[in-house]
Amino acid sequence: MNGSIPSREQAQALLQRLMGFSKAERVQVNVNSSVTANTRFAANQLSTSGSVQDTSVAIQSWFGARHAVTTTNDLSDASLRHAVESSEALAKLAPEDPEDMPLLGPQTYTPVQAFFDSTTNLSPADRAQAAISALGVTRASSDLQAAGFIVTGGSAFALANSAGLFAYHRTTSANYTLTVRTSDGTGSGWAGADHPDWNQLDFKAVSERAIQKARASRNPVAIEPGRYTVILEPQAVGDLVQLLLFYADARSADEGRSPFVKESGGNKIGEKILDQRVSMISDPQNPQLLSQPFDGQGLPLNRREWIKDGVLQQLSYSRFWAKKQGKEPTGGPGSVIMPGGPASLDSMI
Amino acid sequence: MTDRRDFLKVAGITTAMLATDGALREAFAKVLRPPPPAGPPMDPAIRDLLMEALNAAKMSGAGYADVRIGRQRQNFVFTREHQIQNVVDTDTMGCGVRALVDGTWGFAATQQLTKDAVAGAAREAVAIAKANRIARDRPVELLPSPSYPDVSWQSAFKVDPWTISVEEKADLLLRANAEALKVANVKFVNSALFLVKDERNFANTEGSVIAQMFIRSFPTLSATAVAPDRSDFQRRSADIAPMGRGWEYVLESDMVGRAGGWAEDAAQKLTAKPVEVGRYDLVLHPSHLWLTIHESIGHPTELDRAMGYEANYAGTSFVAPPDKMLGKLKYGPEFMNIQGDRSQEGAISTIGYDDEGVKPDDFLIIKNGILNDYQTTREQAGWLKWWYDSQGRPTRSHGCSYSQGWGDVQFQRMPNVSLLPGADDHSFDDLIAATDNGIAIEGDGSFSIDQQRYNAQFGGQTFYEIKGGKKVGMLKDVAYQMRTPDFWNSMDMIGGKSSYQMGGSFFDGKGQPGQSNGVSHGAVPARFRQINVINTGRKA
Repeated sequence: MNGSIPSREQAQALLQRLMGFSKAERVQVNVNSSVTANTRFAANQLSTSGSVQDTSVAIQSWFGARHAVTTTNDLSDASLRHAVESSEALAKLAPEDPEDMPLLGPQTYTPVQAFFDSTTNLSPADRAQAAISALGVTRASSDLQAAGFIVTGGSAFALANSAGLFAYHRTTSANYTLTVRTSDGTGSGWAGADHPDWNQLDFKAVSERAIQKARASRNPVAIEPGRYTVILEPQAVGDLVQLLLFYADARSADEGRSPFVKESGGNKIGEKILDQRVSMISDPQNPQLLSQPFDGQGLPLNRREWIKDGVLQQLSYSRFWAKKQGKEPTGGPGSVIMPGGPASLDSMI
Repeated sequence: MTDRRDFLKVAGITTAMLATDGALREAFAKVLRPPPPAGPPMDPAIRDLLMEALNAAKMSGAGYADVRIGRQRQNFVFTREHQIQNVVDTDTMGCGVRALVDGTWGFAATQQLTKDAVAGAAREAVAIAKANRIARDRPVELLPSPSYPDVSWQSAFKVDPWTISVEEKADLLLRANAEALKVANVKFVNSALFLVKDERNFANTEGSVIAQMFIRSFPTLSATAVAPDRSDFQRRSADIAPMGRGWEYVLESDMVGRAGGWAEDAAQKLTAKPVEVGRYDLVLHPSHLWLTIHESIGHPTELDRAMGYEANYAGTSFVAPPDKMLGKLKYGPEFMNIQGDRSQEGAISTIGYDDEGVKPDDFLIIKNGILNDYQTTREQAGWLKWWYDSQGRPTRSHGCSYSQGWGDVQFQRMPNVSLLPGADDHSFDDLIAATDNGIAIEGDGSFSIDQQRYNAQFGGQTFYEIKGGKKVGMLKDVAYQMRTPDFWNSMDMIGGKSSYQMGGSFFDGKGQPGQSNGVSHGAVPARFRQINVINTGRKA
């Protein structure tokens, strides 16, 4: 797998070759390369399994404030040249974009080491064996059905432009999700694990958690509608955190159409919006996140507190909106952590 | 398949000329109009690659293999208010090989379209299938299917959107935006065009060689009105269905002519009366009902879901197990018939042959109110042999195999699933006139449904209070709750043939890795008695 993921030098050479074809006033190019492999199982047996290799490039060309993007995955010189010409032809036809911003020049990024050979060196047999860690238990039982998905991969993303910017990041990923249901159809449990390093995935622990939940949730009883104290596991809280920060765009709030609208005008930055025990932080360097240290435009992403002690610290400012509002552009939240407190799940229950 | 370079040359010349000369546009439109009904024959070079991959799969030990070489182009134009946000053109080509070895699947895909690369992908697919043998339980069995050597098919479009300049596309959207912004309190408008051109070439070890091409078009617009005191904002999305048609459909959608009306709806929602919770008779327009059909009938009658194959992602189904449901589950009233098909002209899921070489048939999922069938592939239809035998029907796949592209393995996806018209030719207005105390809902809105597709809640775009057979005013914050079989069994009146219209989804997700599918749903207006309505705007 390693051989198919371009190194920093290979990605830079490809992007330079691509920009060499450009006749636009400004150009920004990127390459996105990945090799992924997966194994899927359901109803206690393997269903599908496969691998995919792909590399595509995107070219954005500008003439004044007119711009357009073309992408292609044919990397021959002739095709790249035509893709560049096509983006230039489209850009010339496109109306002017009044929100167009100058390209970002060279930036400094803190590299994130997120590429693990333990993940790239896997074979289909390794994934099948990992699936058996759950299937072995559920097949041997008389009351359990397993459905799961194991997906691993390596990828690289690089970005360059005619203002001299170059950014490169590569990562591996390993993700395992498992749903175990009881054969009577009344119990179901889900568990998952995710990390760039395959060796960090504990397949047995995931199986045990899903099985325990499936058996514990059998024969549920209906409750009356009303107000209850609800305790959510970390995964369920994480899903809500994602939703919350999906709406963290400053512009939508300033324009009056977001949960973060302040009725008197502007947005709720500086206001207490959640319980004081809640904080949300993005940090590409965090060993649990190891995410890309720049956004799609090449803007560096570093540690940032979005919510601290329940107070909204920051919304996401695009470069255009930041300039218009006299703020610093932030990039999006990306991967986020909500740190916990001292209470254990059992003590909360 | 069009050569990518030739395509770019043609498109470049065409767009440049079209932008400057209206007469040329007519000439090109005539030249580029597709010859119905069959599509162009397969490029010999593509055929050679397909055969190379099939041969490599067989030599490596595949009992069955299929190869798909696809090219998908997408053109998106995004605008807001008076400006273009982005113009995006994507183009991807590659080859995917699926191999069945000793009852276990393997799949491999590569972007490199050389003989060595496609043969390598075929060998890798076989190697993956063999490696998975250690985890096999029951072997996969494929139902036989007729082979179709050297056939082609093309979708029903008149004007290829790739012959229209981006300038013309953007101009259409910006004119529609300008109309919407004329309405008081409407501060924002977003519009976009999603256009897809997909060429798929297929061959399998049973002798089928199939070339197909389809175009999909989806114009969208949403207008947002903001209350002057910022206490509320309301959005209205356009009722334009995505369709498997070309630029002619985008023009027929009349975005410019209708944008003002949608914007007025958004503004009117700011001052509309909040709905009082309670039970109402609901009169649902096809522009709304398609989504309820999609979620509460389309998904639970996917056979893979019913058998637990989507338990870890998309979900399972309350319509399970099949042996307790087929011929027994009373889904709705006797006049309720739900058809699955991939044949309605202009519908998004319509295709000549599915992604494992099956010619799809039309089938009734619900017949006279009773569950009659599921959506199937060649791997799945055999699971229902007992049922088809009991009905004197052949055991065959309904042709629901689909992959979003060359890099994804094909699996069961939704065909067009439609509520067929009733015997009496009632219109939407007829249903309203027959209703004493109810709510009429148009357009699809936000919704929530459980993973078994049993309990759900649906919003909409516009809501009107019905009193004494008349719409008496607009409501807001309306959502209805339902339990699927109770809801459909409460249906007591439906529209007729002339009220039938399509809705659909351009981005329907399923599978791991996730894949997106487009699907249409034909529907007539329908009335549902005494449905529980909640107020979504209530803060306490």
